[in-house]
Amino acid sequence: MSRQSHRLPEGGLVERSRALRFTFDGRALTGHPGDTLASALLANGVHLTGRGFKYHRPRGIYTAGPEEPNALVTLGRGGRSEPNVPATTIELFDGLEARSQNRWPSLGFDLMAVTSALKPFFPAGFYYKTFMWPRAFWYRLYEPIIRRAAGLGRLADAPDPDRYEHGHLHADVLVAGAGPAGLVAAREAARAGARVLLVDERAEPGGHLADEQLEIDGKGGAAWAGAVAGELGGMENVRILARTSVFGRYDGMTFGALERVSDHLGETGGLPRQRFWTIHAKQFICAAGAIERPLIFANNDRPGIMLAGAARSYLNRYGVLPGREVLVFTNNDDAYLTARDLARAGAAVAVVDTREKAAGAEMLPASVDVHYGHAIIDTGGRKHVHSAIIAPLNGDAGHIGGQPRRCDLICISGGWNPTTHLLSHLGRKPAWDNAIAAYTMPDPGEGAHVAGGAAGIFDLGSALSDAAGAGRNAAGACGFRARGKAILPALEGTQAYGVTPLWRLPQELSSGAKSFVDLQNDVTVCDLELAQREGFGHADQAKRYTTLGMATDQGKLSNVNALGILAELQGRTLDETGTTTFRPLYSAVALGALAGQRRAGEFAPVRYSAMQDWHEKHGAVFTQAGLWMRPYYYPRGGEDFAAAVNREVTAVRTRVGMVDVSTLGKIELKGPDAGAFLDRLYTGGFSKMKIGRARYGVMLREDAMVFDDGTVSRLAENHYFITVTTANAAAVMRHMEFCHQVHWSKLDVQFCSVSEAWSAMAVAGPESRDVLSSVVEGLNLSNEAFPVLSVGEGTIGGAFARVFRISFSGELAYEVYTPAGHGAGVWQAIFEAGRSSGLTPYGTEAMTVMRTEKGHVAGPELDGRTTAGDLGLGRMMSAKKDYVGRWLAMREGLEGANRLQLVGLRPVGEEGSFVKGAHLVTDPRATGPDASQGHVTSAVHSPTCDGFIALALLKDGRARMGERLFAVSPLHGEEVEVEVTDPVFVDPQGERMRV
Amino acid sequence: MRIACPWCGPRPLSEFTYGGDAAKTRPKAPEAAGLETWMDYVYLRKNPAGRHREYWHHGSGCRCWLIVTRDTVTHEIEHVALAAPQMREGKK
Amino acid sequence: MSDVMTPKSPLESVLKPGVHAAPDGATGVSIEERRDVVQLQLIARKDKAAEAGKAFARFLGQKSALGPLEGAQRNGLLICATGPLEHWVFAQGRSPADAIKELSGIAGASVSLFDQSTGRCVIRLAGRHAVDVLAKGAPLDLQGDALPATGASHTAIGHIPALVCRRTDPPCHDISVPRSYAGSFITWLGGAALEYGYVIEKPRSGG
Repeated sequence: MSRQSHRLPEGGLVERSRALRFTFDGRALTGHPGDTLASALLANGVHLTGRGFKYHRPRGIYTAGPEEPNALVTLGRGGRSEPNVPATTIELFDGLEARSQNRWPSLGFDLMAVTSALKPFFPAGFYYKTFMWPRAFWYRLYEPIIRRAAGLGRLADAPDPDRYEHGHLHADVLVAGAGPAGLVAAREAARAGARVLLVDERAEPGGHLADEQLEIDGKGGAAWAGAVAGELGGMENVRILARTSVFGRYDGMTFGALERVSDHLGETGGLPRQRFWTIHAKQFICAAGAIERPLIFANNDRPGIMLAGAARSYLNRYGVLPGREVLVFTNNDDAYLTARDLARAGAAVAVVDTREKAAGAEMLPASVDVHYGHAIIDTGGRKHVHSAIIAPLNGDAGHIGGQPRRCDLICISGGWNPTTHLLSHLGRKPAWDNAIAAYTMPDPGEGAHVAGGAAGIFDLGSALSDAAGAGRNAAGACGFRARGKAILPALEGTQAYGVTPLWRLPQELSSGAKSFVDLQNDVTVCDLELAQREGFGHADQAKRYTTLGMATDQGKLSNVNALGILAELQGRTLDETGTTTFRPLYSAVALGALAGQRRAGEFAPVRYSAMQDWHEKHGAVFTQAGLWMRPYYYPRGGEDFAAAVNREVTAVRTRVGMVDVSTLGKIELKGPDAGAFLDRLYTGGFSKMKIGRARYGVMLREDAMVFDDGTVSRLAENHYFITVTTANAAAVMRHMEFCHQVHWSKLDVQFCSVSEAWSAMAVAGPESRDVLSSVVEGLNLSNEAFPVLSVGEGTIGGAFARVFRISFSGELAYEVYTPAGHGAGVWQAIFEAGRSSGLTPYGTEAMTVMRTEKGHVAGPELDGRTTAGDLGLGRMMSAKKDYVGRWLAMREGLEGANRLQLVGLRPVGEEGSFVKGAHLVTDPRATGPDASQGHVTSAVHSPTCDGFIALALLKDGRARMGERLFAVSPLHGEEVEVEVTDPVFVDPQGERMRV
Repeated sequence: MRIACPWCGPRPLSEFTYGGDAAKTRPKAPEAAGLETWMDYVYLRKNPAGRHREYWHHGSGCRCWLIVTRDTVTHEIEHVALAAPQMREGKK
Repeated sequence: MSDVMTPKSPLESVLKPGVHAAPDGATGVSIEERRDVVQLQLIARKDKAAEAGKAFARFLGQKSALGPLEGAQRNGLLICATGPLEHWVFAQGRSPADAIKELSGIAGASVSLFDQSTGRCVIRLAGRHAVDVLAKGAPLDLQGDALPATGASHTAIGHIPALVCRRTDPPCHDISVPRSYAGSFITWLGGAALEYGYVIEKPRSGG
């Protein structure tokens, strides 16, 4: 067990009685419950935690929160491995394994650091100006090398074994942040009676309180927060989500939040790893606090340099003393708390303040010196800072290069930035507030409130009373009136916060060394100056030119500093420069969490017919038709696809076969105007058709393109039953509802989808009548009693069956519909009855072959660009009534020789085959888009025709029968000479189905 | 984004399908209307940046067509009504 | 041939009775298929919505017609106002034909009736955490006022159409799902209920 060299014997919230073992880069270390990986590393005196992105400079822990730019590690192994996790956010657990990133061969000895010496060749935007010659080298050499060198962590190399979930939450008031302001706001809103959802990214409530040495209501900050949270947890109208980040605000008061359910447990134990919550709230309170920003100076990125607030967090929250010889470099009063607290813990501390005086100095013990009007202008120490050079800001040049001052910890503070991102996600821009030298959101917009540090109120007392007001206002906006006074805790004293911005050191104090603005993407002050020189000084352009703010920390530490520098370079104010655009996600969300349960087989629902078990048992190979699984073919013996399909088609055309067509859309219509309604939807007339009859129906869109085709049957005077294609079922239903509710609401018709209520099977072939007659009771299926397009009812094995004499295959055929609960039983009964006739189950491919042989159009021909006339269905367009699509069909552009018309194709040579989508050209050498005369829409091997056949759309096709063309697909390297034929290849007179 | 269906209450966008501009009405005398009127009805749209009256279908809910007044820039929804006249009686 | 006579549920091979306890041994949700329920979709005739509403109110013994999403039960018929012109009926202990006859008697010529029984299955969710499980998939505010104490609404759970019916006697939620989606719904349900532990009861068949 290692000794935690920098852990203090007492102080902080960690449980010293229990030790947790973890490894970092293979080195075994210990920490305590309550630690983060970062605090545990610092407790063990580990400062070097990573290497910079571009220059591979040694880097350490910079912050104590999710805004961490440097200490990114890879956690876990195999499919659980997660890269780029900030060590500052990882709750330590026993057995944790973490590895540093972006270094080879090791963190201590990284060969890639050579890039640091080549810095002049890698300024911002270097890839726009280099690696261009010779051209071929880009793909073969430069790009692979750059790609391998780029990035920080490595992705996992195995599928993620963990579960992720989604969920919905509803609240009157959503409070983002359970720091002191959020707690008070939530309590006031809850007391008024509103339904409150309080969300915080930490495991414990209290926000930054545990980072401070202060008393609230006579208790320590963390204890007070725990008590308030306990009170809230006991209220029925409050829900608290811990370890949850609200990462985005979206339209309609919808928010996205990510809950880390079991990341901190090491083992998920059956829980999901993370949950993606969609939150709907009526009012929103942003109490997300504020993030400290650094000061910028040469070599400001060494391990051992960190934000002042972070240093005091490690001291007060974790009981860790990150250094013993401390320099505090600041331009504001808040950092003095760090100086005081570290001095109390026994460190030797000195303060370097850029200002001439500071109210904060009053709190310092006498042992702490303050150097006013000075700045740190450089630091030394490669893997750990060991010295700093301090110089007066307004002194003369002779003072540069003063004696380096020894230190092992530099705490820097350039001010605090309120975290207002969530208030800007819908486009509202923050405004510059000179008093605190930061951007705030004074007017967060309707439904939104901002409180505490997020509102730029850094004095705790003022923040709490402001937060109480926000809570009451939010509840009030939901109709809940607060009664009595707000509950505000007792605090001792107020904290002054004065700040004087210093965006970069004056020219005369700048050495040639790198001054980092964005630590994660290694963007320096020089890079920003270059961007400005090259004309990319606008905030949005400078961001993209330099990549500042584009790394995983999204510029939380760097954006405002960069804007300050650009403003200075341009001689403008920060109100004038404005900010870049804030967009979700505020913090990273794993793709697994976005997917939730929708992965692999569960990505979309899978729909099955009632006969699915039978298909599986009989060896069906399935295909996806939308969400449906449908039998594609049923191979027997060692049959391949082609052999099976040929056998199935032949069986139907010579004996009998059966196919499951349950997936068809089915709609039932009732009411005295049902027929009139159908007349207005279809090209044909149905209000006058006889009861007990079925007809083919074609539906157009209002622009006259064919929309769908199917069957219409009249079951009774005011009772119709229609079928539509599987693919269009939902669209047709929606269209019909639109027509009824919007166009013709005066029609007395009621209709609904019954697609699920009926199983359907087509029995087709010369012996189909014999087979069905043996099993259907109560219905005479003879040709005289039941001619083509008849509809009748009977029973099969006692189950209700409605039989339609409709043929898609062109053979003698019937469609049998039965309530879906009986589908499997009826299918089985027909199959048994058909055994002696060799009844063959067939799938969608055989169905496609046969309908192609008969020139029936289907999905590929109904592509939204074809009219009834194009498809040879012009005779179905009634001239006697109004219907959808009738009037625009008369456009002159839809007539004539330029239209692509339905034709058939046969290959000229015996071996020829087609590719669907192949284009028809006269000269196979001329294959530009203008050369296309049309394209192949359906292509199959036809055993009936003993060769390949196709349907195609060809310019002026009907006038070109017998012509020879080429079907070409350059993408497939295919070229076939073809002859244009009639689209009906088999039984052109349609006699076979009428027997 | 959410739409407050007059029958079902506020529901997420995933329950709805967009149906286009509600400013256009199908010609009531279709044969007499003439091709120009039909072309205008089917193809021409104002497409404003701002207030827009449009159709939405509550397909995963009550299956009513709705007329929604929405700001196309801010996505704020000003008003929602059932499209079919005979549905409007009897709701809350 | 008697096999043909009994309608088959799509959940026969999918919903096997058993206990799937949470890591701490608890079961917070019970799942039970209701095979004893017949479902009818009733759509009001033109200009008859008010008349239909009154007819149902009379049958249910209520002063006024059911409001949006409201439901009420009498004699084993649970009638819910699921749309401006639509009522959904869950009828217990009757054949579809009997239920149709009965509803025709109640509503007369003011509605058209459609039998949706074999097209859908009903899964009853009950228990301490049933609503928490539903909240993972249904965007309705089930803990708030999205549904009346007895009522029903069409929605989608994930991408699965679902009619969610809230009942008070006993307090539970009946989910009516189209039969082709039933398997996918159960897969989702099992995943969502995992952390609370769940029991799959034997399906309840009709009397």
